[in-house]
Amino acid sequence: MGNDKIKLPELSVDPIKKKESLYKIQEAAAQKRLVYCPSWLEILKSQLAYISRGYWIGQGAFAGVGILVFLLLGNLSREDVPYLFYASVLAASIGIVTVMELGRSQSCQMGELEESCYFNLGQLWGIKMVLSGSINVAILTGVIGGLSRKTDFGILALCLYILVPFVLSHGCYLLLLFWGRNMGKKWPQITAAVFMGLAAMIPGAFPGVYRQIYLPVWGGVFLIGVVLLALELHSLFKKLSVGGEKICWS
Amino acid sequence: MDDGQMIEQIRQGRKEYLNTIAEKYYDDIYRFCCYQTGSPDQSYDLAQETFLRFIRYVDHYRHKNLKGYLLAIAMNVCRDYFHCEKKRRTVPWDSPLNPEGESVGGDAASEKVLEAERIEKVREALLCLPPMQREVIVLHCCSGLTYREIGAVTGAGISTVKSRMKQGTEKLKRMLRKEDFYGE
Repeated sequence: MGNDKIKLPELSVDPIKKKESLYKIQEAAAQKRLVYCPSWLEILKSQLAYISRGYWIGQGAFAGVGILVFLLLGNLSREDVPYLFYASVLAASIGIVTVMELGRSQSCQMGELEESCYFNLGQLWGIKMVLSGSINVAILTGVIGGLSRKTDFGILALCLYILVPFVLSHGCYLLLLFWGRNMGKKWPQITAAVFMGLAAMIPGAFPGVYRQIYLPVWGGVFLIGVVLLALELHSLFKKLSVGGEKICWS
Repeated sequence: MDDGQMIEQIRQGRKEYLNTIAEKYYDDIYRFCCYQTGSPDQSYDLAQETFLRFIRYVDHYRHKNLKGYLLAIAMNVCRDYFHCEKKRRTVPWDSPLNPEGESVGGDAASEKVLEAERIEKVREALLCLPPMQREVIVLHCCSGLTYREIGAVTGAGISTVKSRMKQGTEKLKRMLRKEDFYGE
């Protein structure tokens, strides 16, 4: 605008009328009830603080086992070590930590206690599942990366061989957890983890199933597992949102 | 303490900073309302309403530019005023020449009269502009906002703001006498 810029004259303000206005504003401010609205990041940070120490120890233990086993195995010759065997057992049993954390809500009145001002139980479980899933996938990604250097399998094939026991075991854990009232206790869950670990060993007894010709079968099983898991989760969250049955375990 | 820190204090429950913000920006909001509506008496109420609305919705405040936010509220308050009163071109200038009520004489009186006449000319010329151009000119020339900030307040793009500014300024200049406003 340069030299043509218009400069509006400054208007004087009547101090008496201004004081009257400010007085009314002060009255409104005094009556205002402030509601603290935290940001999403603050809410998530506070929810992380409520996750038990046992959960972090468990996740750390599985991550440590994964690293240890594959570092140890790395010192042996390729022909002697069934890498996929151990990786499948790890993938099948890693979900137990998540299930035990969710199972805490089934203790007497814990479900009601865990519900906070910001999240209901379904949302809390959603956060824990997303967190656990991310950590577990990260651990398994490291395992797959290690396996790819020690075996002749392609990355896609390794992903399927590891993710199939992972998805199927999670489906079983969730089914067990929400099937009945007392299934939230630790011993049924640990028993399930042992059983899933043993079941993951079965393909290892038949090395032929890891041939490339059976990849479509692995892919099909993986997809079925994902669909069943999704249906389970949908059913679970629907029950939490429409009724209190799953909360009133005690 | 800057605006962001005051807002943070308010979120922590310290309501006295609401009054601090009102005292800090009252004059700016009043002047904006005055130029928008042409009614000094009504502008005290409009400025008051602006801060009352700010207090009402302060819980959800998430902006970075507090002044721009307050001016956006003031803009909406003025629009509501026009909508209700429909007095866009007929509001009388109802404030005294000297708000303090003191009697002055001699050269000081002449200067005050000239100043009042000048203000009256600007007010009338502004009221003849379309509302959107008037808003842009007042926000830029009176409140000191940049084109980007005006765009954020009015919801228009920067090029639209510049266009409104250019057209409004040209119309305003045609209506005002150049020797009263250039080069100050």
